[in-house]
Amino acid sequence: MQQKLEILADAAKYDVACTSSGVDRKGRKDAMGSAVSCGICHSFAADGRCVSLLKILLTNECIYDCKYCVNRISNDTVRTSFTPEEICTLTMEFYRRNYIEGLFLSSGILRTPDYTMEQIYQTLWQLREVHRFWGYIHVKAIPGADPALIERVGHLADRMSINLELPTGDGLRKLAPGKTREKILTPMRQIQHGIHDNRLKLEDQKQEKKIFLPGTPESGGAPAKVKKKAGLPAPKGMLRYEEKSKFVPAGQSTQMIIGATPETDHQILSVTEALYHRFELKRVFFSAYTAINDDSFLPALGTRPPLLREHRLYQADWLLRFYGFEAGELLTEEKPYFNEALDPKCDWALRHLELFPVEVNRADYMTLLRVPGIGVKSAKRILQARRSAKLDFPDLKKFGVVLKRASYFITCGGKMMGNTPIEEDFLTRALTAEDRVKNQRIANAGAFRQMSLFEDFHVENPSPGPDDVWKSLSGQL
Amino acid sequence: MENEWEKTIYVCGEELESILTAVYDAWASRKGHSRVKIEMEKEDTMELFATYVPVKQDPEKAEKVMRSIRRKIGEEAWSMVYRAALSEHESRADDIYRFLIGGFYYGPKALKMLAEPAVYRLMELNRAVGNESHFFKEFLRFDEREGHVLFGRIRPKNNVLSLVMPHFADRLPKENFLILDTGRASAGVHPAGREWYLTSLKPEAAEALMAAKSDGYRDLWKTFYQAIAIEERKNPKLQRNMMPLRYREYMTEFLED
Repeated sequence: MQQKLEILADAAKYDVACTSSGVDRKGRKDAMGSAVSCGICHSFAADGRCVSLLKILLTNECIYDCKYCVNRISNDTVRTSFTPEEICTLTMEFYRRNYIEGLFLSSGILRTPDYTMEQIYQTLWQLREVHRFWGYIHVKAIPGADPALIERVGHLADRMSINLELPTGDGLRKLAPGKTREKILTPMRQIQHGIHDNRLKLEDQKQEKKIFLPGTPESGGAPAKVKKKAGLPAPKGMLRYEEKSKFVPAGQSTQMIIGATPETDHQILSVTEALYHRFELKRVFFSAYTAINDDSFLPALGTRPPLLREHRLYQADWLLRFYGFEAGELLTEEKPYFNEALDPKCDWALRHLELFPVEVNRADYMTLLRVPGIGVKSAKRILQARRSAKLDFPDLKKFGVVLKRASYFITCGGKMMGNTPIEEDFLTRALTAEDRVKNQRIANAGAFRQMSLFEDFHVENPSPGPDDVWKSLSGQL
Repeated sequence: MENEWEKTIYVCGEELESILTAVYDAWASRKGHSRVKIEMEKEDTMELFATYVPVKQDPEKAEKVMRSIRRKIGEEAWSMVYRAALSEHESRADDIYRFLIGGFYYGPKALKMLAEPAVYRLMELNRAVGNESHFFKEFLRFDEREGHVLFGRIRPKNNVLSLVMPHFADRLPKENFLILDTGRASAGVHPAGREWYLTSLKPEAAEALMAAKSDGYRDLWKTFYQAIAIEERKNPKLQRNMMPLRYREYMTEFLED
């Protein structure tokens, strides 16, 4: 078991998403688990990435030969598979101990896409109906699997995702001979429609309820179907998870690999924007390519993953989703790459100095959001607080505004903080100096590390162990 | 005859009830807000020209204050006061008092007046308490002990146990579990299928729990935890930012054995 877990977790680690967000579900007396919409991270791995879900593959066997993938058929690695029962036990036991928030199940393609999807369905069904697991489940839809199977899995999972793998169809043809753009986009579209139809259906049921059953309390997690039965109390027997009949309530996500193919940042960001608008995805993840396979189509082994580029893309992704920016504002065909030295928002602001400075006591929410150093939270706090008081720079600092950046772009009561010329060269110098060290750190993460007294010189760790705690409790220390 | 510059300092205990009683007494004294102050018992530097009045905890007075807060400033304000009272800061009782001055004057809209120092301070205490309780929802680890009992340990700065318990009670209704605050020797107990409660734990009981055998899933979890990291992206600084060292004390993946 331990070996299997090691292999199948190791093989799953290149999948980026580990979020458990997007759905609120209270616990139930006869089940185990709940979900919170903001998501809960349970640990952080040595690479600093959040560990929220038990992220494993059902199997690392695969019939495909995608060039960038560790599990490709031509790689000589140890192959193994979990049984649905094993996954259930692991999930339940890990969950009870608060190691995880739920399960993230992905898989190589075993025999056929349908067979693999069927196995995934089996696992989820057992987990929900036999083990009565009410926590979070994120599952991969296998490209090319029967839509009917995807539909059924969707009623058991919270989030589904299909990896776009590479930003363009060209890249996909070159690196993933078994997959086509169409095979990936079809189920993505299906899930989008499924979520829509389901939402409409639930709306209808709510309407019906309103007419026939005024005053039925909306208790969390109770099934719409049971309630519809003319106000009878829910049946004594156990409720089946599927009866909740919500389809992929936490929405779908996808990920693409950055740096394995020659797409520009502009292309990637435009694809991202299209996915949000046309496919209504909840999240698009980027994965800096880690050179694991030796192949003439790929960056050479030993190439470092483009972490700073990935970081800039995530920053831009945030600007698209929460700050009202459009991809075309951040990058264009003429300027297709992000500035390595500046974050995308600062970069944008420097190219639009005519819009600044902004008066904090008057500017509307969307304008405040565009100021470097002001985020969603601080903008909201500013709106709230300025109703009862005139704000000054010290107030802003308390609200979480990063004055090191914002001070060049705002006024408080008509005054700027220092005597700064609003002039591009000066500001660029000031802002890049600020970020240089941080950028270097992101770009070089993993390349070198600081020597540590404890690790390198075998100094005893002086922090108290469990023994000492007991001693301190019983007063022996 | 009192001097008009002389302060009266009400000295209260750690518990919410005691703090609220002090608020009641200070308010009812009608000496004027600038001439009263509430302090925790522990504070040892005494002020000159001040009269110290110990507060006698009174559930009735506390209840009255609670009801007024809920009625006049609202439920949100009440939950903020409740959380602030769990804070580690010695000043929390007086901070609550200062907030209530504005709170009773302005009503619910006081919560939005963040430029007001007293309101901001309450929000700050709240945020610290809220953040820490969230961290423990993330990082608390249970170990299984004999008889299917789950046992978890925390050592929080703020007294967040009562905020952490409902989360797990909702999530694990069919489990027997116990969370021990090792710094305060208090424990939250949840018997399967019943309501949870807080209690103080005798050293012998804690000893029995802590000395029990190791849980078989520990190694599996450690295996998973190590396998999931990508070597090429190693970044201990980021890891420390997201998961400060002090939370790792009892975390399964960092235990050595």
